[in-house]
Amino acid sequence: MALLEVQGVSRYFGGLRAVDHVDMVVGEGELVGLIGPNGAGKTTLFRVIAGVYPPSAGQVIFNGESVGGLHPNRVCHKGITSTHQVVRPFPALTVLENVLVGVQYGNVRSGDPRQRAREVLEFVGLAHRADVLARNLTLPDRKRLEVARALGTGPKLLLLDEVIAGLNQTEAARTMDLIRSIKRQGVTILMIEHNMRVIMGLSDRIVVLHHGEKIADAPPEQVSRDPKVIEAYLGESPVSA
Amino acid sequence: MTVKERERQSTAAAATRRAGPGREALFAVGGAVLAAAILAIFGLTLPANSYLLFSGFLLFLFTTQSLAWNLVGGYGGQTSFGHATFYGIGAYTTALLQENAGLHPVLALLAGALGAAVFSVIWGYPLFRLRGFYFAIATIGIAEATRLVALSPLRELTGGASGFRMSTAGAGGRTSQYMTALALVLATFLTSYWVRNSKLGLGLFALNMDPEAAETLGVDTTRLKAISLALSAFIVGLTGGIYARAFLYINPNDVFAFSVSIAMVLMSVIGGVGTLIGPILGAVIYVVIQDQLGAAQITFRGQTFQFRDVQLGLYGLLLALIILFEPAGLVGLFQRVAGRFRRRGGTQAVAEQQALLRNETGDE
Repeated sequence: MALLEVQGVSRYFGGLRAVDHVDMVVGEGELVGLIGPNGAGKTTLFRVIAGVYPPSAGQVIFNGESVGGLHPNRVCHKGITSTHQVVRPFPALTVLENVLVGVQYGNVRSGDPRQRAREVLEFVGLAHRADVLARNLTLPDRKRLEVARALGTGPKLLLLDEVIAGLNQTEAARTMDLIRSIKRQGVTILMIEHNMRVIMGLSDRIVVLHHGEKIADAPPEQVSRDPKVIEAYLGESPVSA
Repeated sequence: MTVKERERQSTAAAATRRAGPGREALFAVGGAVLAAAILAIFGLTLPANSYLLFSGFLLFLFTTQSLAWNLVGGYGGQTSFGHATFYGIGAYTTALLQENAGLHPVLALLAGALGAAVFSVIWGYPLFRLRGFYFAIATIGIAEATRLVALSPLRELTGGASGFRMSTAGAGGRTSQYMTALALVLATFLTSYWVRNSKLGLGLFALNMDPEAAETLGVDTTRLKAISLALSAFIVGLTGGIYARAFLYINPNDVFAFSVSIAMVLMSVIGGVGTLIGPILGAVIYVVIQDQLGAAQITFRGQTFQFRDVQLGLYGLLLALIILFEPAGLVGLFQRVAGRFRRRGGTQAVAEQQALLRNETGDE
């Protein structure tokens, strides 16, 4: 059954059509990759789903309920949480407190919040940094914290915006393992990533955006052979993986 | 806003938060000991010294206001330059209900505080859409508007420019006023401590540092700002009522004055905005300056300058210097000095760490 249905969603900024009439479905438990050249509208689409921007047209249906145009905090309470492309931890709070914000204000609020926050940190491998101020974390750890915070809210659908970009190979492999284990826990994931090897290796299905429009929606091996996709990436080679 | 800017902005909020649970407990114990000491010193000597009694009363009122302003202006980062409006509404509601409606003094006080809180919610919701500078400007507008309304259209009720006089009945002696203010300041301190360690406090710190990230994590930022403003307004409203009952005379130009709002900002910023202890330090310094320099004047080349006339300029300069060089105020300064001492003691450890680092990177 479809958990998320994006129906004819557009988002304009003045005359610019950042997202243009996109239809997309994400099934329960699926891991869908969202790719496209720079400026294709991937992050804008994420922000529309997360409630940061209201859609200019179209509907976002989550769990059979329309969530398009709701405030981000209400969207979070429905069960959708996103991470930010440019990490934005609360710098003067500790790592544990950062996660605690999501745990205390998020979608699932049961049990002892500190205990739950610790469990989340344990899960993402940041437990040893729990009492460090977020501003003192390294970039890989900040990216992990971004994921941990989002997980703390207890999402049904997790939107991951380039959580692997900028990491070295070892770190990237660790984060890929983390994303797989999040999926095993039953969380549905929609992720943006530029690294083809990552996205091909993780996704059940890949949606390709180009100039705000959807140009492909298929399993990884099919997408990498799609002439339209190859044309969109002209000059780059998406099949190198 | 870049990450750097956000970090800079939130240093103040973090100043005493970087402490672990142990340090927080120490603060609590320290606070309790301090409160007990204040009670002992001021409380036991109170009948003997009526000057101290009155100074203490004022100090407690100012400290209460400073702590209350910090709940929304410090923790939540919503810089209000209009808190005089709550002070004035508290003062007038209390005075009018007690004088004209014959309400019991305690009930009149509570009604005044409630009035201020309700008023804060009415304008808080629309104004919280504004960010930073624009919010601050709008709060000035609100406070000035209430002053002008109290001054002219409501002249019949408020006494206009000639003020409103209360009968001495039920005013209570200096001692009871003093004890009321003392109880209020301690209660406000405990409230401030509680908020800091509560879910509300965490949400306020988060929205202060990054509102967009906070919303993504489910924080209803507008609601939290409104709650903290209402709490702050309630407490400041109480101080207004207590002031009215102590002085038995209020005037829109006094209780709604811009300087009342500025004082609250100043005290918090001097001491350390967003910290627990900062607003108290700031209030003590502000009250001492006002008390010592209130009547001071200086003659320079035949011209006489009254402190009263130039104080706003001087305070403005002080504000600018603090924001430029030590956004976390005195608390930040103390921590910086303490950090330097600790580092000097720990040079050995630092050297070892550096040696380790050199080995790791293979750098000779």
